[in-house]
Amino acid sequence: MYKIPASTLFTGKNLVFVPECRSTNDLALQLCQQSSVTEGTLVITTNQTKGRGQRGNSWLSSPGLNLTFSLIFKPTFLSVANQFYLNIFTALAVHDYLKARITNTVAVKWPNDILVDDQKICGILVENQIQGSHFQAIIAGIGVNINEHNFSAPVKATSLSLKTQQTHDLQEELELLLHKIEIRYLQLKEGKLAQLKEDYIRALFWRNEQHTFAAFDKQFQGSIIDIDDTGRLLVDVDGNVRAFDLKEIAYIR
Amino acid sequence: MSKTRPSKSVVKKEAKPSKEFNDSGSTNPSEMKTSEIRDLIDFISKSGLNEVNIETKELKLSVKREPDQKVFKSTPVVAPVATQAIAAQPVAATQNAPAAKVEKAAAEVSSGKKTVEIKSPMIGTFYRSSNPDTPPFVSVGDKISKGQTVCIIEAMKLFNEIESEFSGTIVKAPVENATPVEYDQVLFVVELD
Repeated sequence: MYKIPASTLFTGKNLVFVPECRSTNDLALQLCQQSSVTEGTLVITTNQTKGRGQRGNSWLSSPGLNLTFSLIFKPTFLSVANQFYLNIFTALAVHDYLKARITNTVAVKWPNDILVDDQKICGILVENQIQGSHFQAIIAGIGVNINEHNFSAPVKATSLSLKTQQTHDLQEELELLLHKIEIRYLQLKEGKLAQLKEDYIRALFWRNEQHTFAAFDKQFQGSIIDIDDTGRLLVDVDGNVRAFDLKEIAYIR
Repeated sequence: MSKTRPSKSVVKKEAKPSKEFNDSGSTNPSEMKTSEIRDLIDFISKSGLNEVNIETKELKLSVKREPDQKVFKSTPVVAPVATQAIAAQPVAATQNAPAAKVEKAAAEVSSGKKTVEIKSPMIGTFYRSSNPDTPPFVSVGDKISKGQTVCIIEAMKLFNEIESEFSGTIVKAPVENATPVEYDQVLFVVELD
């Protein structure tokens, strides 16, 4: 059970709690389709049974241990051309939240995974509804590992509790996280895109470090320097800047 | 889901005004999913009934069979008479048909009804269903209403449900599932009501 957060102006004030559901994004989507939902509506569960990641992937979370929720926003002010800022504001907000909680290295792995000490702690799935060239609503599905201690072997994952060696109160964590999300969303609403992008670039995993990547069946050395307007990753490869789409590049080591 | 439609079915989906609908008018008033409607039609087609009317507080569905009409046309993409393209297209034909050439101008219409195009608002990957295990949101011949989701375009891990700005009937769906689309590329041609 969750309470309406005291830490925000509008985010989570309309709170929809279900003890169990397949996916909070699915539920949020239904809300968007069936009635007029207010901006900042929070759909949260303690037991998400069919959490979704990227198309076909799943997000696993043990009952009662972690935060699994979706937020509905209505960024009608944002042009579809700037949609990558939806990844930026959500990922940065989770990054800000973790930075406020722990002293470990927190980074955003492009485009929107959050890593602590190179291990995944949070997954984000943003689903939008568009008519013409305008967003009708966006649903930001966020899963953060809080008190989870058991991860199946091949996954490089971690949780807040594994880092702090404490058990955390989910309501307290939710309030801080929603507060951070609201701050970043308001920045977006105020049109502070340059600031958001600058902070996002600064938080990027492997930024300004030489690493091995793979693209088009070839491995190469390069260093992440920036993203372009559409969100493509810009990598400096021997002095030449190359742009990569999401499916075109893999991080190797 | 059955891949064939043994006889012509005319599907009418009428939204009833309800105070629950939001101000933007963008919501799909029907709680019934396209897949459920399709299942229902398949069921009716096997039942031997000629006409079925279902009415709930959310929607009114009327399915009518005209058993003597032949529906399998050899030229499914542009039917000579536009009205025959409506709802008469077997699902299999539209799903497996090779992607038709994208046309810039409004589609040719012999019935005189106005057509409009739903275009891609971005560069990305086009998906006809919400996930690999579910049927397409819409197919050629389907009636759609304003605000109804017609496809998903994925770009940079953002999943964009594209909603129709129009009410009408899908007469063309030239893009193949899971293929890249360009900005402004025509995704669907809709014949307005």
